Amino acid sequence: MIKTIYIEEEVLDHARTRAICARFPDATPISCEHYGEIFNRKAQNFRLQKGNPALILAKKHKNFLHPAPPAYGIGGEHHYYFSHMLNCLYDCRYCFLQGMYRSANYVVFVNYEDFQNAIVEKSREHGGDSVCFYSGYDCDSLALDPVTGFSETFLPSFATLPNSWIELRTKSTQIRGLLKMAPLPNCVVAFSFVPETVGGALEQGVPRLARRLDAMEKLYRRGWKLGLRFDPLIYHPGYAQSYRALFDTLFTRIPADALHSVSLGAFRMPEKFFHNMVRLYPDERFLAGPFANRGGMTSYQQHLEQAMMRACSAQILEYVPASKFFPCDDEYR
Amino acid sequence: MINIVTAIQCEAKPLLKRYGLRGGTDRGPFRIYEGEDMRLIVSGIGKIAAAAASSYVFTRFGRDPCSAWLNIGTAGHAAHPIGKGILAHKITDAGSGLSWYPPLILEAHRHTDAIITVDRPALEYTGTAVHEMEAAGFYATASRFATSELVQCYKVISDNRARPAHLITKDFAASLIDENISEIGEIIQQLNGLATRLSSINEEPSILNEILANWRFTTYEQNRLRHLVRRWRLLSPGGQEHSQVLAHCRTGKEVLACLQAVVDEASCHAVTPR
Repeated sequence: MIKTIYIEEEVLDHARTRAICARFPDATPISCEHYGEIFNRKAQNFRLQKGNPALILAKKHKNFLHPAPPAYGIGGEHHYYFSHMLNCLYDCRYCFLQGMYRSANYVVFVNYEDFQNAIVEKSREHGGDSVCFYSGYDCDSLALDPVTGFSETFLPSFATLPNSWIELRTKSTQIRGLLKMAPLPNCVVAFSFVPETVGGALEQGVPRLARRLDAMEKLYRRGWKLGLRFDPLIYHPGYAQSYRALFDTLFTRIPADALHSVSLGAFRMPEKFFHNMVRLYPDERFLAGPFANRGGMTSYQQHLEQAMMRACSAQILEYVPASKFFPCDDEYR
Repeated sequence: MINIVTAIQCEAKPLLKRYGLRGGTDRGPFRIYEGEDMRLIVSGIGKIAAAAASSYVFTRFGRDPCSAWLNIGTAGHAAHPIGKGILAHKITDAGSGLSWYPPLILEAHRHTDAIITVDRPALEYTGTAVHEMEAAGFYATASRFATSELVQCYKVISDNRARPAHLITKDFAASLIDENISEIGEIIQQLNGLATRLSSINEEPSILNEILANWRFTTYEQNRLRHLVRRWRLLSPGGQEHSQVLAHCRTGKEVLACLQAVVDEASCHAVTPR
């Protein structure tokens, strides 16, 4: 699947670089000085590249952790996200990554240990406060796990940080790495969902709902804590019924006590990202929908957003206690 | 449409024959040949000539951002066999040290390699890269005119340590291009396919011009109109004709207000996943 691998000269001999390259023996390796020469260059077309993305192996030098956006929380007092990888294997038309990045290539920062050190340091900095670290903000945490070995490398360091949590956010079924490990009490494996009809139209490459449910079931039976993420909510006529059907399916199969948290968020992104997406996909009906700009952000028209958030919140609270429910706006708790 | 840039006439010759390209009558600074969905310009040797020729084609022929660009030529390498075709995956300008990375999204290429563009013929045959004299100038310029996926460089090895450059004749250079014409054809076909796809994605709805012809809009309003017409067509593909919807509008502002109302209505009721 990967035909081209760009490798920063600085990590050409890194053990993780060698291990990842060994997974793609037929790929063409191309050395570069800095990943930005490929990833950040102007005059690239995300849509054309998405059909045949390359892998870029690089080293992250600074800014390993970023404060998580407001309302991203799932409990805890402090929130940070980190990105060992940029971009996602899947192709979801509502995803902000396609509006944020110029390139659809996947970047993997192979110096995981530097991220881990930053996490340990930040965790200690906050004393005994609870700190949440989110790994699936700029990528899918697990979709490329068999290649990157992310979970088996990162998770053990959380065993020494009892005051900290890590959230792995995914649409994938790549859980083999997790099943090989003893479950970590301070790790949440969070699965993102949209109703199947919406997924069928707007997501490419994402495993079917049934397969993801199987993966979730395997995980909770092994003792892993699970999360459910309904973010972004996608408006469509009859949304209340299709989200009801989705919630029924999920909450019937996954018992409430296996759930660490359920979060809900309306579709929203910076206006500029949305504008870029429309420019890339002017023929996409979804992007012609009932959106409005407010305060530099594009989201659904306020009355629709409020109606969706209210309806879905009420439905979710039929299944889980409020203590486990984290809507992006406290108004809906 | 694809724009092909070659440095010298003998590199162009097999392509002119294969694609039936014909030269224009006017005498400009470069020799240009045209055919169906294809244009070829002979730039002259060197990166500056390649850059100038690319700019000339772009400005003279409609500034189409959805055209593809391909630099075809001969090159040297220490060890690659004579006649081997190479698609560039990295182009470095030896003078400045700057590099470009043409995205490898084509299925047609078999061999790719790094290319170094030098200012004078490299006769030492050292290093591991392909050496030639135009790619960096071509790429740096053409990738300002089109998205970089549509800009590629293809070189045929004409000289190596065993058969150095002084043995190259015009006929020999032409024969090397000719021997690779089938692979070049695949690349051209795929680049043209991508260019056509991009052009079709970005095509304005036909009714836009009709509306612009019938009402007056400021530049800002034209952009808003473009946006509304696109949304209207997506949300109501089989809906009413614009002549019916806009029949009562007297000014451009009324057209915009009318379209906004139609789109608002349609977007709340008709946005179902495909």
